[in-house]
Amino acid sequence: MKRREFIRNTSLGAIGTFFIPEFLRGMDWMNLDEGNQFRKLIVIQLSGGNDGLNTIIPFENDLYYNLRPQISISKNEVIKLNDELGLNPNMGEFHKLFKDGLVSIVNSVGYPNPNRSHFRSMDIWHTAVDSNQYSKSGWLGRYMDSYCSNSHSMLELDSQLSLALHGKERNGLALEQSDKLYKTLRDKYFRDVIETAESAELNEDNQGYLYKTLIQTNQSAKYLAETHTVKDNNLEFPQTGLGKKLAQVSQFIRSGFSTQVYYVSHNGFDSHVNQRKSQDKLLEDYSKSVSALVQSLEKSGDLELTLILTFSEFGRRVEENGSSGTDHGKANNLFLIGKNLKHPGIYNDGPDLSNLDDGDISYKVDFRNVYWDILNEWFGKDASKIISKSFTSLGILS
Amino acid sequence: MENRKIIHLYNRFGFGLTGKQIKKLSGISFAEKLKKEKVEEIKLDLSEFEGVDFRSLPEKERKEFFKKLREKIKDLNLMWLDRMIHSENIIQEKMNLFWHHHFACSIENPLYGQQFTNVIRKNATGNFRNLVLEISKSAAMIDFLHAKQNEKSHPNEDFARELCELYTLGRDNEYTEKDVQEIARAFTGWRHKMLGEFIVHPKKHDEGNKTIFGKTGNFNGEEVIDLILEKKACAEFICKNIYEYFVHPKVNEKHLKELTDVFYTSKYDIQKLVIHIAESNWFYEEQNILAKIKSPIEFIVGLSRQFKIENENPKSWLLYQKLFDQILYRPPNVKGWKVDQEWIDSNSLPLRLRLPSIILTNAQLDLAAKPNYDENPLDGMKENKFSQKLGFTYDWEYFFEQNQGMDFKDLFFNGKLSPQMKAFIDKHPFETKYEEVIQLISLPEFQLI
Repeated sequence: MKRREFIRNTSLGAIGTFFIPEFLRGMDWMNLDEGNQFRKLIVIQLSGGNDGLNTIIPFENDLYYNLRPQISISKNEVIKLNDELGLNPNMGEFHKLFKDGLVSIVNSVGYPNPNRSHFRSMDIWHTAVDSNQYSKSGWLGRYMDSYCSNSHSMLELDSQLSLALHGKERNGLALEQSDKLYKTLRDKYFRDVIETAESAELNEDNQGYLYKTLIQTNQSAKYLAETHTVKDNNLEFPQTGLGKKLAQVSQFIRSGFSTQVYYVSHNGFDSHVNQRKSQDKLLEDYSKSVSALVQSLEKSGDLELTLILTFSEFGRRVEENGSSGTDHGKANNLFLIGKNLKHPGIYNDGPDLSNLDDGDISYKVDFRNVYWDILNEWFGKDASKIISKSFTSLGILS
Repeated sequence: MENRKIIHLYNRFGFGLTGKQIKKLSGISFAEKLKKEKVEEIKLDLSEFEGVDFRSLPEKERKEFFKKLREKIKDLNLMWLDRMIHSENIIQEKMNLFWHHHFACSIENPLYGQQFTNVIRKNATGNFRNLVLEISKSAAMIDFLHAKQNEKSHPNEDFARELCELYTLGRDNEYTEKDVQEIARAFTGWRHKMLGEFIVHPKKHDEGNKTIFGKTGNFNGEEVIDLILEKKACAEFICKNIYEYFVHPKVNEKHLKELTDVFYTSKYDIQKLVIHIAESNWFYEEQNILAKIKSPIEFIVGLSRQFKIENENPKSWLLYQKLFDQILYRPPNVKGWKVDQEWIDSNSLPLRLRLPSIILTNAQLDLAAKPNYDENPLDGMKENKFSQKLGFTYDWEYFFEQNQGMDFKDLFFNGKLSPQMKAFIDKHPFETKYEEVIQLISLPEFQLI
């Protein structure tokens, strides 16, 4: 048995949690592999409400063409996935992943009593509570509370942290570069301030919050700067915002970070006006960037342990508006990408356009069911600790 | 009033005071100070654009024309920042900043930006009805929330939804999805002309009956605003936002009820509301002192007022706003800029702690700016790395002269330094009085007001 497998078996099998036995911690060879034994999740959020109907197109459906005289994508333009559904023509690279059996497309994902406000709907997706409830912690943040010990267990490639990564006790880390934090704090005075704060009793108000954040930051900054060793030029990634972020994620994973969740936003999907122009470009960027990510992880052997989730806060109105765009809608499609999919391909039927909910697609799959499966089946954790409603497995992940 | 209260009052209804200013303002009441303040409108120099018929220009020159026009939004940004740093009308300036956050509107056209900002300036401590109505009619808001696309045959609900959710009632509070759709109909046809003048397009406006909050009638937009203001929930929502911004991030329900009554009975008089806060004993209670986290603008404006920070290079001010994520006239979304704890995470805190020392020693700032695709789609194509001096100038003499005899710990922390940090500071060696000050303002407590 190889060492790597030995540790995987020990930590996942015998102990059942990701905590590594203390006696293995200090060993040099451990540090090389520490991160790679564990499953990772990469979340790519399409912000602004991606129009799912022009992403996965029901090209045999007259209702789709009747309601969208300006912005529909014609049958001969789409990349056919089956007899009814086809991909946006700008997603050729994504189609290759689909053909390779690396993608599951789940249609009509949403939640009961949907909200058409970006912020509220995004909050609902981030917090995974009922749409009439409010929570200050996100689903991944609560995962951290229960199962992780460091803020760098979850990284958001951004200058600010999303609600999804805010726990009750612990927050993920928002960062743009791995060594920026460390450089900033490497100063005698700050080290002294941190040391003093570590021995002080901190209160619950903003003053305490500042010191707690400082202490956590210092611990994680050190870890990230020291662990980020793979620094290649990533020429295969598009030189776009998303491409660069995913290139960083790839480097971090290949460097062996113990980070379990990476969170990335792809912005600009709020297509009220001239949708085709903006959305096509964004989807092309998405398709190329994700494909580059998958290929780089496949090459390094990390793809086996990586799952990519792509979602948006809502889909858009089926009928186009007066300005060649679409307004806020309800249910939408969602993608899971990786090697551990039970039945890759199209998971369920495309949206039912003849039974709309006030002009919108009704939901058939609760998004929390997808989270539930990711927590239970992908991470092997107890999802009921994190999501208050319970679900049965969709049978997508293995 | 005692120093501690004056510092707290103008930390919140201003951008902090120097020792001399504390002395000056302790002799006059808040109401007197507010009544003495003037409305200062912002006026851009747009003479080079006047009288140009851009439609007759060849395409290349037309593009050039609009590019130059767009550049002027930066002037507007800098003028506003300059007002915050130098104006004596500090209450007004703070209220302006609040309302720009409340009516978060991303503005590209400087002409519309000027109109928008002056609507706020004229009404910032006036009547809320005028404010919300004029904002709804402003060219910037009409563009931002797609009111232009809102027409009888094809209503666009964007503005109607945000009017209820963000500007008046609060999310899902006393309105339904159906109300939003009907409200959108009442605002159909609201447009602006080229230079920003408001008009209602008669053919695009829906003259039919609308049922809003259970009442049916041929309501227009202005009448809808009155229907909303009739609801006490609207007064409560505005008071809640003001409380969170000026008093404490966690609302005290008893105080909120008190403010709501004052605001509602005064028919939405903003001046009465803020004077009531400043005259309440609870405003000065211990738990409210230093309880809020500074926004980046509050941070730089406060620091600049204290140390007379200037910069000849306008780019540095803009870069600061970009790096710290609060760009004037460009809030990230309709919800406005971040607030309170949202400003602080592991990424921003170390930078914010270092900032005073970087500025006051003219040290190098080692940061990469985030690409901004809205401004320039090519921004992400180039390496955005840089390390450079921001080039701020500062005036230590001014600082020490203004604050002669002040305990700096009182000046900066208003008595709120924890015992451990106080002990640490007392023990920590420093060689010069400058170093002492820099050490103090590098403490996490300096992030608070």
